[in-house]
Amino acid sequence: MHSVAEYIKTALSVGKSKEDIYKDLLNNGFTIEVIETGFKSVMSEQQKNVIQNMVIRTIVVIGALFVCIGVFAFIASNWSVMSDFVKTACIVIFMILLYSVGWYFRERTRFSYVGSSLIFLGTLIYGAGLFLIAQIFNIRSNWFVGFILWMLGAVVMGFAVEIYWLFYLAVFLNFLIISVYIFNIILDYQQNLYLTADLVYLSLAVIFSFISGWVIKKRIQPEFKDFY
Amino acid sequence: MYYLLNDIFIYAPIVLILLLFLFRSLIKKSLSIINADNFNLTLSKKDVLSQLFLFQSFVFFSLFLFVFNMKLGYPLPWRSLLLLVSVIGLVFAYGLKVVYVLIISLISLVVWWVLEVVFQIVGDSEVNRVFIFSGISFFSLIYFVVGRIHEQNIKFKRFSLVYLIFGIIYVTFVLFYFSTKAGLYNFAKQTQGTPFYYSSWVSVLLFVVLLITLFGLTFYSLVNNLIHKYEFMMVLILGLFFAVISFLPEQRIFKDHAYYYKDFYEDLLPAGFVWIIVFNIFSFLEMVGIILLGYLRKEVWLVNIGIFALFVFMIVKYFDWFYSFLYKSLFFIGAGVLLFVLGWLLEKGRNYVISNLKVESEQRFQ
Repeated sequence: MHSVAEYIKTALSVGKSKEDIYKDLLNNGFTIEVIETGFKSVMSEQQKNVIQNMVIRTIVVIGALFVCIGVFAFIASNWSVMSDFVKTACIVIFMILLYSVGWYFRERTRFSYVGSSLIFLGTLIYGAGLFLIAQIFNIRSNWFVGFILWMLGAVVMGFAVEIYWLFYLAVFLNFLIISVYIFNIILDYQQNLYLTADLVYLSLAVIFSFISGWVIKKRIQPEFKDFY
Repeated sequence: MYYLLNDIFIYAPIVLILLLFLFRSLIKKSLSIINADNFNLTLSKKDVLSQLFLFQSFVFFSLFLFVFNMKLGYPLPWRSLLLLVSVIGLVFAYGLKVVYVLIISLISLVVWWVLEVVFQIVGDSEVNRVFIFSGISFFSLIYFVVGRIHEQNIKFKRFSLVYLIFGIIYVTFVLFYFSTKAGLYNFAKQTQGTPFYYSSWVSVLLFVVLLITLFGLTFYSLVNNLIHKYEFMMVLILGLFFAVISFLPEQRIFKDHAYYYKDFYEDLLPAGFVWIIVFNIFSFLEMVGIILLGYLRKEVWLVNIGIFALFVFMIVKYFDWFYSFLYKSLFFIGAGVLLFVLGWLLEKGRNYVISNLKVESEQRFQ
């Protein structure tokens, strides 16, 4: 039984089809029941691996979130006593650190989930940093400009490291921008100066969303080519 | 109020997206009733993502146009801008095969038409408005026929599903709505006043263009064998029905124009009884027609939609007609028994129709 499972595992890993494996084992005198039991044990082992990976990913993401909360709590409690330079340096250094460590884990070690989570966290810090820096330096702009810039950063990072969670974040941010922008148009329709200053950012949003959609579309599996 | 609306607009998308994520498997299962022969609206996760981005870029572009129009002092009326955006959206959807943009463009086209005709007759409160419901129904029937035409090309198969669903849902809804008490009150109100062809020529033109497009496309599809002759008959009958109710003069449905919930049956005039019967029969036959259509076209999803619609129809009729007659306890006991019996009958009927479809397809392959 053990040798059947081993043979099946090896054969599957070199790309042999199920039918060929069945044929080989039947020719070697094994019964259908033994072969099916062998397949079941291999599949359950693979499923266990998938579940283990999911558990690891969940634990790591929770861990990253706790680290993030802890750091935020530390910074928040000391925020008022920090100078503008220290505040900005904290945000930038923290963001670069997360990106660097995340990249290292993803590309140079086998802990790719940890790396992806750290990069995702870095993008969240980037977004939070945009609003904090605007607050620190009293930059007067509409708040959804910050979300558009956040979305741009998420998209660029998504293409750089090919983490699809960053694209989902960008899509979510777009929906947020759209709903609040429409609300502001309805309420502030007479204050066209307030809105038209953001035409440039709207154009950027159009271009980046279009390019993202276009590039991802080009990467869709070839078997779906007929539908385009 | 401002802050409340502001909060709603900020938090509503977040809550909605969270709910969609948490209940994604339940939503997938529910949407599988319209899984047309294992053909989905989206092909893969990358397809969903690309469609979302392209959809959002189109929405941002529309917002850009609106704001730009505002900045220039409204050279284009915003209704015309809506039409422009709808047309650009259709070109965008067909060019890049983006289903989500198609959905929003089709809806905005209908919204433009309604706003345009309402704008034409807005100063004239004596004009009846029932032709607006008919106009939207014509759009639905046109979408249905276009959906059948698109089925021939694999590149537009997903689009055909969108068109067909739009086509079926509104017509089913409007017939069903007018068959209820609230709907009949509304129908009576909408028929008050002079017929629309005595008012603005623009609204007449918009209506007639829609009518000609509907019948033209339907006959074209029949001649080229793109729709089943039974579908042709359904579209023709429904189209004529909605055309007739648009051109009717004022209908006296209730006594003394009583448009509030006093006593429905006491206030009803003979014409009102006729309309109740007409709308209920049309609604019921339309839903049965969808089931039969699913059987004839061998499309399980049509059968599922028809059965679901019929189920809702019967439950609502029960509440609509018997709520005030029976004692409440008897009413709810009856409702429970009805639900069980209906559910059993519909499931039996559905399994019978679907198993016949499967047997026929197996026989075809033997």
